[in-house]
Formats: sequence, structure tokens, C-alpha cells
Amino acid sequence: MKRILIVGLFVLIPGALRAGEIRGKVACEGLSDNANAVVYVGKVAGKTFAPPAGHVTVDQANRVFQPHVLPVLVGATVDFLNSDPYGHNVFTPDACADKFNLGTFPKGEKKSHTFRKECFVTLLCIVHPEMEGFVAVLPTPYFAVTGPDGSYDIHDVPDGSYTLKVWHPKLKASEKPVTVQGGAAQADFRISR
Amino acid sequence: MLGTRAGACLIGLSLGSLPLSAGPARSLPDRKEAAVRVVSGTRVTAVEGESWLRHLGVPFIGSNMGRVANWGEPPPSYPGQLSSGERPDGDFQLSGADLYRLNCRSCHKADGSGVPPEINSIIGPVQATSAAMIRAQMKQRGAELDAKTVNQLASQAQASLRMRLQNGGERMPPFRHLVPEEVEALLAYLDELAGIPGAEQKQVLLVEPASRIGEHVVKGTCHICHEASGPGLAVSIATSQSIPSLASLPVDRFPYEVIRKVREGVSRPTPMMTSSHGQMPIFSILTPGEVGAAYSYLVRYPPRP
Repeated sequence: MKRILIVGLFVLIPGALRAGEIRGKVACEGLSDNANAVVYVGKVAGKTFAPPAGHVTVDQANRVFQPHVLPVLVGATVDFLNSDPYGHNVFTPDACADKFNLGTFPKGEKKSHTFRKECFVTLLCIVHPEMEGFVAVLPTPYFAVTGPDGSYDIHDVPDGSYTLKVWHPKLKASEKPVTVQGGAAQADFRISR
Repeated sequence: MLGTRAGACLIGLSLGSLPLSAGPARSLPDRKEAAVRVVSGTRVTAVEGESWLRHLGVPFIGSNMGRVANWGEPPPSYPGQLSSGERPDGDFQLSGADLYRLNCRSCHKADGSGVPPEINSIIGPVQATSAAMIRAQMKQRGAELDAKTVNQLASQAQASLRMRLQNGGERMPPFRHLVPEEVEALLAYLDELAGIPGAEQKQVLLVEPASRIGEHVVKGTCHICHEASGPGLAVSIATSQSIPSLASLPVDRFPYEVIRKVREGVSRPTPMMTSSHGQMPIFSILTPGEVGAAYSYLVRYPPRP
């Protein structure tokens, strides 16, 4: 009876840490909100990860790349969909992403690119210069993107010591050591220009 | 089917007697004298089908056209300036700027900025066709692109822009009535509008018959709101929401009435009117000669359902 009660209390406590989880908050100084920071576990020595089998999608809708920042594991293939009733182009000037140029394509069509190297890729549309998006190509599958309040939540991280990194399109990157022990860790960041 | 007023137009409408300039002289930027090309053999066709607003399912009042009371200043029409004007032989001389004014400006505005999100700006898509503009944009971002990629991006954007003009889009009508010479003149002006270096030197003047000018006015501007065929003015007065068809105009109105209505916004004789010019915007951007050419075009090429 006592055991059942303890388990029940754990489940009911809001905000309780789950197994294999790193969570925290990122404060983005000088910006209107704390969204779009990518928090991720850096390279793990001697460990490689198979690229995901499925594709991830970046939509172009209302002249916005959605999501604005997309984290993926190295080797992932991203489908770029055009949902606007006019043509969009997708390209990047970044050499680490092979400066790919997918051309201009109409509504409903999608074109794909496989990201083979670690890279923070700027996505642009040559037709609409106001459009800008980002793909963070990362060495591990342990990552999350902050919401407007700066909170993030990385799941399924095995116990161990890691370097936890944060990247933001407009702010300086930062990192700190983190240890996941007993399935849970917490780390907060403050980043600025 | 056409009544006496249309007959009067065919016999009596002399575009040469109409004043071609209605505004103050404006100086244009320095540029080389534009090449003049005579566009001959163009096949003029009747306007047909539903209005673009009906095609979109957008009510007139909810549209950009319904929100704008006056479409701006009259164009310059003085000798030596790049502007539409009737020549002694009855043909018209028009520039890429005129083609833009007759076909594009009602939606995309004089500066090309459009009315987002309903109507997109054309500036970005046009700037994307220029390698110089792409390089400048990349420099501003602190990024570098090799010449091959820049040229590839520019040519892709060029193809996309031409395709857009030819086929239209979900919310933009196709402009298939434009012939290659007109497309080149229009694109040269779009370059100038978008601030592409050297565009001033690429401007050309075209010489076209009056019926062709009328076709531009009707297909590029009037047909946005007016159905090609259907009820005329009497029905339009009876039901405040309806817009008289293009086919009805030469039947119901004399040329001078249409010119005055279009350019000055003559009030409708109804006690329900909400403004001094009724629902229809005032198109002072059109010259009397151009509106007269549109009237003449509707008479000679009767609109089809």
C-alpha cells in the first residue's frame, strides 16, 4: 500500500523530472523572447548514431520557414514543402551544407536535401529575401528547441557526463558540462550577442 | 445587339480629338533615348469569362480594388517622355512603365509593393533575377556565393517570373495576352522599379494600334471587377452590389460618359450611393485616349461569356 502511494505521489507532482531527461531554461538577452535556441548534447566520444530513417519537413507557409529553427541529427533528410500559392526557392550560402540550391518550385511541391555534416545552416529564399530559417545539424539525437519562455526538455538521454551546448541564430553559442545521473539533470543558460 | 451608342462610337470617336495629358509635366530620370519598336501583327482578342474577383470568390467591397478610391496621379503624356500617347497615325506609343500601369498597377500599386498578404510585392521576385542584387543581398548577410551559384539563382528566378506572368497563380490572373515584345518591355520596367542597376538603359518604347491599348486596359484593369458579359447599368443601379458587364458599357454609355466615369468618377444617379463617385474607384492613372481606346476595343471585339 505504501509503495503504491509513493508511486502515485511521484506521478502527480507537476514538473517532476522523468528518466533520461535534461531540462532547463535559456535566457536570451536583448531579444523579445527566449525562443529558437537549440540545446543539444555535444559529440559523445566513441559513439555514433545512425541517421533517422524518416524525413523531417520544413514548410514554407505565409512566407515563413516553419519551423524557424529545426534541429536534426547528421545524416537526416529534410523535405522542404511549399504551401504558399506562389513559388519559393530554397538555398543556403553555407559551405558546410554544400551551398545547396533546390531551385524555385510551386505550391504543393517539395524538394529534399540530406545534411551530411555538422553545420548550422541558414535557409534562404532568393525570391523573398525577408525569409530566413535555420537547420541545426547536430552530432547526437539529444536536442530540443526552446519555447518563448526559454524552457527546453531533452528526452531519452542515457546516464553519463556530457557537454551540453546551446546555439541561437542571433546570439553567441555557449556550453557547460552536465551529468545525467539517476535519469535526470537540469541546466540553465544565459546567452547574449 | 449593340445599340446606337456603340454605332456612334465607331463612326464618331476620334481618339485624336481627346486630350492625352491631364496632369502637370513631370521630369523623368536621365536615361538614354529608348529604342522604339513597332509591334505589328499582334492578334487582338475579345475579353471573355468571369471577372477575376468572381473567379477568386472575393466580393468587390472586400477586395483591394474596392478599398481604393482613386488610383493615383495621371501619367505624364508629353513629347519626349516615356509614356503612352497617341501618335498622328492613330497608333499608340507606350513604354514598359505604361504596360505596368495598364496591366499590373491596379493590384501591385505604383511602387510594386502590392497589398500583402492579399497581393504580394513584386520587388523581391524581380530583384532575385539580378545577379548584382543577389551578390549585394549576400554581402549584406555576410555570406559569399560563387558566380556559378549566383547566376543559377538569377536564371531560376527569371524563369519563375516569366512563368508567373504567363500562367498567373492561384490568386493572380495569367497575362497570356502579352506578346514577347511587351513582356520584354514590361520586364525591363520591372527591373527599373526594383532598382536593378542599369535598368534605365534597357527601356524600350513600343508602337501599337489603339485596339491593342484598349485590350491592355480592359484585360489588365477592367476585367478584374467587371464580368465580360452579363447585366448592364440598369441592373447595377437596381442592385447596389452588382457591377455592369463590359459588354453592356458601349450599349449603355457614350464614350465621353465612360471616359468621365472612369477618370473622374461621375456619380451614379441613385439616392443609395455612399460616395460622390459610387463604388467604382477613380482611374485617373488612365489617359482619356486610353479609356477611349478601351471603349473602341469593346465595340470592335464584343466581350464573350
